[in-house]
Amino acid sequence: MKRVIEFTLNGNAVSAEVESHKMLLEVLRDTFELTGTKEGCSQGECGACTVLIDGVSINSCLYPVFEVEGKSVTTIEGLVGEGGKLHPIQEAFVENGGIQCGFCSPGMILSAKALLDENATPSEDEIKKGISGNLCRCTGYVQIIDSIKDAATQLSSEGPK
Amino acid sequence: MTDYTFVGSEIPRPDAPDKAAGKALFISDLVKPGMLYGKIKYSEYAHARIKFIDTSKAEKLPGVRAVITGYNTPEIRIGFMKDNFALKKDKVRQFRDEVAAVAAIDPAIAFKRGV
Repeated sequence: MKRVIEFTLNGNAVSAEVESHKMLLEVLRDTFELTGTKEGCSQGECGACTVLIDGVSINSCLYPVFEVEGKSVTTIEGLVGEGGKLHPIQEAFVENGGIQCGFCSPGMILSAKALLDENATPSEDEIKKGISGNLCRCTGYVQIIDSIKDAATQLSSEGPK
Repeated sequence: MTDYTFVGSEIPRPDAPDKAAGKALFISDLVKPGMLYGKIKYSEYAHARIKFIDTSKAEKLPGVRAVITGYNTPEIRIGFMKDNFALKKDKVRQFRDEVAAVAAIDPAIAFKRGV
C-alpha cells in the first residue's frame, strides 16, 4: 500500500510517496538520496542508522516510514551549516580523532547531539550512556568520548544554538 | 637532531570532515544506472554433500537477471594457496559455505530468491 507522507526533513518541508512496509532508513537513503545515514544491522542494535525525530534519537532501520508523518527528522546532513560549515560536534569529532573508518560516525554524532541537547555538561558516565546505542569497531570509543567532551566545551562557550 | 616536518606533529585526517558531514561515500552508498543487486545463498549445514541445486524458481522470478552456481560458472579458485572455490561443488565443508548467487534488479527480489 502506497501513501504520500509529509514531514520536515533537515528543516525543509518535504513529501514523498512511500510503501507501507518501508522503514525510514530506506526512504532516507533511496528516495531522498541522503546516504549519510548508514545501514549496519537492520536490527536496531548497532546505531549506524540513528537519526533524530523531534529531537529524540531513534533507530531508523526499525521506524516504519508512515510514522514520520508530520514530524521533524534530522539526519547527519542536517547538521552541516551554510557553505558546508561543520556543526561544532562534527568539528570536535574531526579534531579529536573520533573518526576512523567513519561508518559509525553519523549515528554517533547524532546520538551526541541528542545527549548534549538534553544535558550540556555530561559526565563521562553520562556520555558513555548517551552513546551506548552506537557501536564502533575502530576507535575503542576513547577518542569518541574525548570528542564529545570537547564538543560540550565548545558548545557551552558558544552559548545556546 | 633533525627538525621533522610531519613526524611528531598532529596532521588532521583529510577524509574526516566528509565522514563527519555524511558526505563520504561507502560502497553501499553508490548507485549506478542499471546496477544489479546480488545475494549469496549460504549453506545451512556444516558438512554436507550437495546432491542438487534447484535454481528454477529463482530463474523464473521477474527481475532476476542471473542465477549462478559452481556448476554453471567457470571454476574460480580463491584463498591461500588457491585451495578453495568461490562457489562450492559436490560438498560444503563449513556453515555458510557459498552455494549459489542471484543478481536482480532490486535488493528485495535478490533477497527473496537468495532464500
